[in-house]
Amino acid sequence: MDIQGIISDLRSFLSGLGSVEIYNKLMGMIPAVLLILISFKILQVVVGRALKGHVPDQRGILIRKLIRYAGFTFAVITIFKQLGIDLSALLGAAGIAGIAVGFAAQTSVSNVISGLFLISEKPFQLGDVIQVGDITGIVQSIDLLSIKLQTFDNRYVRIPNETIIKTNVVNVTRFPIRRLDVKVMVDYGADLEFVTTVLEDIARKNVWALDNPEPLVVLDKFADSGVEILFGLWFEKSNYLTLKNSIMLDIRKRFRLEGINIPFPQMDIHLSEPTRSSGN
Amino acid sequence: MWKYFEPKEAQWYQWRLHGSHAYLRKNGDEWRMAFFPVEFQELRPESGGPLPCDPPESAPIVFAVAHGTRVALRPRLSELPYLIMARNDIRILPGGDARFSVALPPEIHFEMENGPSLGETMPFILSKTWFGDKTGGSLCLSMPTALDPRCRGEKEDKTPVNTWDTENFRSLVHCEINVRNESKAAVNLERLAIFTDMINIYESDGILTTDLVVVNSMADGGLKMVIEEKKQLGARKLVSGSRVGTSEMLVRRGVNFLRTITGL
Repeated sequence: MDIQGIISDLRSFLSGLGSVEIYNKLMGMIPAVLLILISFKILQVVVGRALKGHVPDQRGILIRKLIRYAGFTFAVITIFKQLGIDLSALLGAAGIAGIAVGFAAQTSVSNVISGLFLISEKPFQLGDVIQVGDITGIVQSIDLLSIKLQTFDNRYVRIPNETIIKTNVVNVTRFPIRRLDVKVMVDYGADLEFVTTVLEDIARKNVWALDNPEPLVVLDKFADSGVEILFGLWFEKSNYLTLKNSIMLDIRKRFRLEGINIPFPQMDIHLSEPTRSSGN
Repeated sequence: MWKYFEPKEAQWYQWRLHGSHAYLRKNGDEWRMAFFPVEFQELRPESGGPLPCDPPESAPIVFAVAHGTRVALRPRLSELPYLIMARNDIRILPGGDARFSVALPPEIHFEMENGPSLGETMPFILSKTWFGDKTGGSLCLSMPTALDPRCRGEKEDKTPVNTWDTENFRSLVHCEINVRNESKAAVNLERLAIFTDMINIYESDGILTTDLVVVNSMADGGLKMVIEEKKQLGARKLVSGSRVGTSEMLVRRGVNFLRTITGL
């Protein structure tokens, strides 16, 4: 059986259009197809409900989609059978066409395979905040070809799965608590032990900073303008912005109150007097 | 203080809660509320209300619309567990038990006589803390207090076991915890998380108390946390804890998790 066979099947089908036999076939086929589609739809709903809470959301979505496409495939096969078109020839032709399409659709296939890896590896889930390159956003959907993000300035970004597999992805909200690192610079004249005590007290009094794990105060380095201190505060992941804003204000207010200077970059320039021999 | 009363129309009322204040005004079906929270470390031994007062200044007003005449200020424990530290690591040897008293800051809410809540807040400002490791655990309210144990046969001494005593801090919920060691090994107690969902709150002479919370260190090395309900004459039950809650689940699920909670 080859392409000639399919063409002759189609020709005989088209020539038969209008005949009673075709209408009989159609009358038998439509309910069967509807039954198949409805059955698969019910199966999709039942399986979806059964999986809810037991498997991650994106895996549930994928399984539901597979059932849906299986239903469509089954319906198409039924239609062809009813119309008397031999599918083995079509599948043979599809194999040849598949090679051609495969070359043309390399990227898509790569994305699909990457998508399968993403779903099995689960580096992130729906609702997680991830960072891919310079894009940060909330994961809206994980599909076979791409993932969709909603950025914080409310843009919709589609990232191909292949890109996700190839690049570093930071899952910002994977763990329930995070650490906010604030770099604080103090004057070289400041009493560093006192500054450390003040910072610990600031952390203790800020309601968004967690008491446990304890805040981190590290005298980081002697920089150009002053001593740089790393001030790390643990927080519950949803309080990032609240903590960041409040802690900056707390540091500034308290440092003013305690007379601790925050230096800014400055340069002392010494002008030497011109010598007499220069001729001026 | 916690009883239902019938407010006069368009009159503001005030409740004093150890430095924190709650305000309420009824005007027909419109209810206005305002809350002034206070740092938990800055509590003062004063509480009372409802007292007629002037309108609160510079407080954000919360509105509610509800039909009814009688209302009460009611306490309830926070949904977040309360995490308390022991003053020093306390070693409890096999067969020993130690009692701790702690005053828990309640959330408050205005409750209509037929049940619905008009508005709620935590009147005491507490920082939060985490227990568990950095990849999993629970968010807790951090109690700025360190517990000292009371033991069997201990003579009364003048050292206060609780900074916020029952008599002066009536608006706090006074809770007794008993840690028993029924295992064959010593346990070191560092911190204690109190899950509140199963705990009832009682009121007697204006003082708020709870059931006894019992933490047992079992012979199999596990821990079990149970609530022993009080049978106290004259005490009125203000809040009923849920029968099935986190605490019960923890008991069923066992032990590793509880071990993390208590730091044992």
